[in-house]
Amino acid sequence: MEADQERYLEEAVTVVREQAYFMKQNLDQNSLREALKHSSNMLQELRTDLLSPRNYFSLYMTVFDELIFLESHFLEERKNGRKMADLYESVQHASHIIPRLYLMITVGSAYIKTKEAKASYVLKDLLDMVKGVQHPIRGLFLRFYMLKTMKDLLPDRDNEFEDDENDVTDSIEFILRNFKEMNRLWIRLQYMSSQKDDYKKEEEREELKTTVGENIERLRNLEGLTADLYQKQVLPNILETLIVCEDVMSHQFLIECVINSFPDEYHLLTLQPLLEGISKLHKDVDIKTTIITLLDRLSEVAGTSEVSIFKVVQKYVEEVFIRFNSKIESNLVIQVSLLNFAIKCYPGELEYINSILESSVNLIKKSRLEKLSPESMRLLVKLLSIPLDTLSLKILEMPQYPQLLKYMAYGGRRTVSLRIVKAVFKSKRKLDNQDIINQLLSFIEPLLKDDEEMEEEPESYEFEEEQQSVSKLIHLIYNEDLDVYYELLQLIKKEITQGGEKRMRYTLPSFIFNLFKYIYLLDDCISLNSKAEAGSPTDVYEEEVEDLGPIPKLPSVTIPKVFNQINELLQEITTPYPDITLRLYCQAAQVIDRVYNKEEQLEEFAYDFISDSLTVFQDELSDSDEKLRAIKLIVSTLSHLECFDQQNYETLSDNAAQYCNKLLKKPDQCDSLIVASHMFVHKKYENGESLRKCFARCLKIANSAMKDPENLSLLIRILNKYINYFMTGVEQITAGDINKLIELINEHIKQITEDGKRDKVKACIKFFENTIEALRKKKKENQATFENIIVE
Amino acid sequence: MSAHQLGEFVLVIGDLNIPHREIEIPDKFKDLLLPNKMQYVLCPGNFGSKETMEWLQSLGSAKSNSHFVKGDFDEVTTLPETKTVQIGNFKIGLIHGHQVVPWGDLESLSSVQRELDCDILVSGQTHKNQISTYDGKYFINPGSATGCYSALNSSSTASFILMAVQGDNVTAFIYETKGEDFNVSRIDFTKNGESHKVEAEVKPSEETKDDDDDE
Amino acid sequence: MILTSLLGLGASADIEIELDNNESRKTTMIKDRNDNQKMAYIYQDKESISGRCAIYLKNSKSIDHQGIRVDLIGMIENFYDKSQNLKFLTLSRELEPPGTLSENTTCEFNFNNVEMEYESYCGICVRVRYFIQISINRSYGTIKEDHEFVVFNPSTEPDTNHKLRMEVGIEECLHIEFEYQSSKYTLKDVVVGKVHFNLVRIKIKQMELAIVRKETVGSGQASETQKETLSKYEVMDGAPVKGEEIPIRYYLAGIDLTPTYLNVSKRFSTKYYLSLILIDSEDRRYFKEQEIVLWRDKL
Repeated sequence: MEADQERYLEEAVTVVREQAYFMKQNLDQNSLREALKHSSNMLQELRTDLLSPRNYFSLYMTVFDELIFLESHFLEERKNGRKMADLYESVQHASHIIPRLYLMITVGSAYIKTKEAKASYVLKDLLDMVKGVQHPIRGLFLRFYMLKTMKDLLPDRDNEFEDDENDVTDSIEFILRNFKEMNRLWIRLQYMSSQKDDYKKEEEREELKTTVGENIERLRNLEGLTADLYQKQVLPNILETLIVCEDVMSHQFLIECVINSFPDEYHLLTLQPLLEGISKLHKDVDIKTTIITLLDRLSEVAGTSEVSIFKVVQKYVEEVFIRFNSKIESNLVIQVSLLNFAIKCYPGELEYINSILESSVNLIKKSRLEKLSPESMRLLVKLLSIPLDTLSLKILEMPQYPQLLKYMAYGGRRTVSLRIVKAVFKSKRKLDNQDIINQLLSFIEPLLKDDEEMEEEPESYEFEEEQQSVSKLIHLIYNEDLDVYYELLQLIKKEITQGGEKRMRYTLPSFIFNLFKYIYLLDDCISLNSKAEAGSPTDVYEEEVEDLGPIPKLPSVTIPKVFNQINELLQEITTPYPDITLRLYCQAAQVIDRVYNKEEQLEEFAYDFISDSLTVFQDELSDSDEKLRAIKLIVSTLSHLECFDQQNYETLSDNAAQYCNKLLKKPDQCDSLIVASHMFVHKKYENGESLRKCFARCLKIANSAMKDPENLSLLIRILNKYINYFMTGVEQITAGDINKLIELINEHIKQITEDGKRDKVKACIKFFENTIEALRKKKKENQATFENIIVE
Repeated sequence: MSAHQLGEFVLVIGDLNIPHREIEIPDKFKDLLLPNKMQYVLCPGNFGSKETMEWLQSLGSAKSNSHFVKGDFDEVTTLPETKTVQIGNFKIGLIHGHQVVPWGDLESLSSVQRELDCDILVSGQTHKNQISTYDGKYFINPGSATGCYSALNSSSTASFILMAVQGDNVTAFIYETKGEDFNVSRIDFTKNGESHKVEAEVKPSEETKDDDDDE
Repeated sequence: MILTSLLGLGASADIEIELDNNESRKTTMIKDRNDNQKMAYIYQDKESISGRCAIYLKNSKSIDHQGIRVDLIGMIENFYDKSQNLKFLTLSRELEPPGTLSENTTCEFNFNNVEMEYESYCGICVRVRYFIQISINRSYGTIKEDHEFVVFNPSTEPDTNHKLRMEVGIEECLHIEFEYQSSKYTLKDVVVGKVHFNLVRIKIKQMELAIVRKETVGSGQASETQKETLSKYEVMDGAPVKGEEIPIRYYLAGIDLTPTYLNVSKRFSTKYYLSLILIDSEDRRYFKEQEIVLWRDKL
């Protein structure tokens, strides 16, 4: 088949070349009659039925080149006095229509160029006569030839073919009529095609589409095609031609030609009829490409229009959804495009965006699909993320957003939610009212609780990222009015606690820290109020009060209420996350230490926090390193706290010291007790007895642990602690204690050296040397205090 | 002052507490702290999450040049409580400081310095930036880079310290937020601790301009 | 001629006939059935025909004769049946009384205002010829020479010239409507028209126009009609669809046409028809003929 095609083409081309040769020879010899005979013979080849469109095109091109030569010769003939009118008639004697019409066009061109006839006369005549060719391929190429040949001869604004009777409207008329006919021929090709295969038929048609498109190209190149002419004459005509023909491929290709060819401003001007036309195209047209192309074009100029065109566009887009047999995916692609259009041209019009989202919800509802395809999902992500990326938190003002979000698969919903969260904290927007928080919470619901769709646990790192992001969000909650602020925090609290303990692990610490911050604000507010109450207008506080602005109203929330809540919340995560709980207990106790003097009853909370932390330490922790770290944290925290009365303090510190003593490893006991010693040099409740006991215990443990020479460091740490206390004037630690301990350490070093283990404890010895060196320095600087300390 | 004049750049930054207490460092800092600008990153803990740690690591020239110790609120559990790093002629020790009682007390921190046998001890915990000498040694606290909540300190000043280390010499810049702007102050010191001078505050805008010009 | 001269009976003189000529006299080519062509002068009815003949004696031998005569003859010839031939016009003049020709001689002749009602014509079965015949009558064989000329008779423009219009078709298959601008044409005219397709259910691939000549010889029951297609002209390539209208523009110049002749001397009539032919994809042809009247507007 293909081989035959090649042969047919080759044969035809051979004849064309041969006849063209004779034609030229005769032209050289001024034998026009003979030349015409040969050109007619040459053109006979275009009568063939055998060639595929592609090969016919090749043949056409070969002939075309020869005809250009012939035409230039006609112009020569004119110089020799021959009348084009005669020539125009004489070529019409040819008995076959194809050669006859090609020659007529060729002469016709010379006829116009020589100005012997008005362009519009020749154009009109040719347009009439070419109707004789009804064969699709031959007709299309003949008319294509006519378009190409007449390209520069059409009367146009300010060109040489324009005069009183001929102007651009004649050219428009000519092209439009030709367009209509070519479109019909092109459509007819599918019924005439020798191909049996539908696909091949389509392919053949595809190959010829540019011949039809040439008409649009010609129209667009007319200088005189004004917006007015376009609106009144060109577009209505083209649309009518299209709508009448009811052909999918024609609609598809030509509407895009129209959109791509004419200026954006024209589209803006003719938006209504254009969209009306588009909405009437064949139902099987892949309408999305068309609409996307149009929207792209419109988005360049929509800003220049005083009136918003969005509503009009959307109205027709909705009609398109109803009419066309498009898949949900295609419709969603259109929505994405419309969304981009709206955002680009009308960034302030949130209602537009919301209505697109709403329409997308309806589309999905109507599709009645059990499950959306991956492609639809991908588009859904776009519909949701484009507004987010461009408008950021304004999406919170779009009630349809979460409605659409619901249609996403769980994974996707989480992805979008996470992006929303990130957008929120990137914007640093304060979450200062219930509405915005409720809205936000509804938008990011997939992050806040388990979902029935959740088949397996999300990857831990993803989950961690999500929850940490949510936890950052909490820091944005704020309102000047502390009662409102508290209500806002309660909203979040409810959401956080519903998230289950695995989420609370991440979100609760942030929330608790925010409660701490809240307590400080509350505390500040209370003290301002109490100062204001205490002072008269002439009071010394006046200035200060004025500096801080108006006194905030005293909130109804009380500090104990908040601590109560902290306590409750920490109870909830004690078992799964004892480590975090314990640390937060210690932090909470420190907060009380800052505010307790206003609310005496807070001591109770502090007491509970520390004793709870000890309970957690005892009951929930098992790893010995962890336990060491935990107890050191508790005792160091306790040693700083001043909120307790003496009895409570002593109970707690004794308990804590007991726990130190009960640590599994001896060196850990010593290590923790060294820190615990601070509990007994407390600002308010110094306890010499306990301190002495504590160090006695330390020394005993350290000494007995010397089987491992590395435990020498314990002794040196004790020494350092001694020096600390000595310097701060703790009377229980004397120069003698220090001297004795130095002596003891030296003995151990001597022993270790004798045992040949000195190398093993190099670091310890360095630590010791550094300590002695520091001591020496201190003594040098402060002879009096260090008088009795012996430093070598 | 360009990099080769000043030696190696060491970013000292800590107590970010992201995400527990703050969303991120101030925008003003973000513009300064760009990836790969420093040779070293030293963090005395309480950076917060792994994500924050990775971001800090990205600021150094290599991951191996970033050093972290564990604070009381760090979720990365594999970190040590203390660490020493040799930079130039300095041995620098790192500790968060919540373990050192009383918190922020230089004498107590000295004990740690002596145990770690370092020339400079970097610690955090107090959220107060500081460069001090004690017994001829240096104690550096970069403060909190987010200026986040602390039970110990009601100030919300955010700060970090940038050190240029060359041999025995260190030029340290303290970057500190001040309202909407930030301040930079400069401190020069040498290893022996015999001479150190604190220069007058440098205006931030000029400072950054100089930086840009020289680069 | 060769045979007769061998017998000694051959003509002993050559005759050359020459018609009087002036610059304006038009000429035309006369074609016979064998496509031999010769140039001839054109005359019209009632014109005078004059000329001269030259007689050349062979070998300068004098010849005896019973008179030399010139005849102007108009005749209708039938190619297939000479018995049907008819001399409808014979005019004679005596050029020389009987005597002896002893030297080359030139004689002039003249026929005044000759009635030549019929045009010269060469058709399918018949032709109409006009010629001048010079005869040298001799007892043992007459020497003759003919010289043909052509008679064309332009007529006045017909009073009426209506459109030709017709709807034709095949039930349920094809329904077309065609229209020619005129029913009467000059010989160099253009046929302008259009064909409108009202219904097309057959696969048409081509449409042609043809000019058909029909020649009827004899009259009444004995008459016989022959036809021939003089020219074909493709007016459409490919298949039209319903509603299509195809233009027709057909230049008659260049086709060997004559005016329509009705009952020429009760011997024959020549009529012309436009035939519209549709050819379908299986090469079946559908056609419709329409008579057109041709007339000569000028020479």
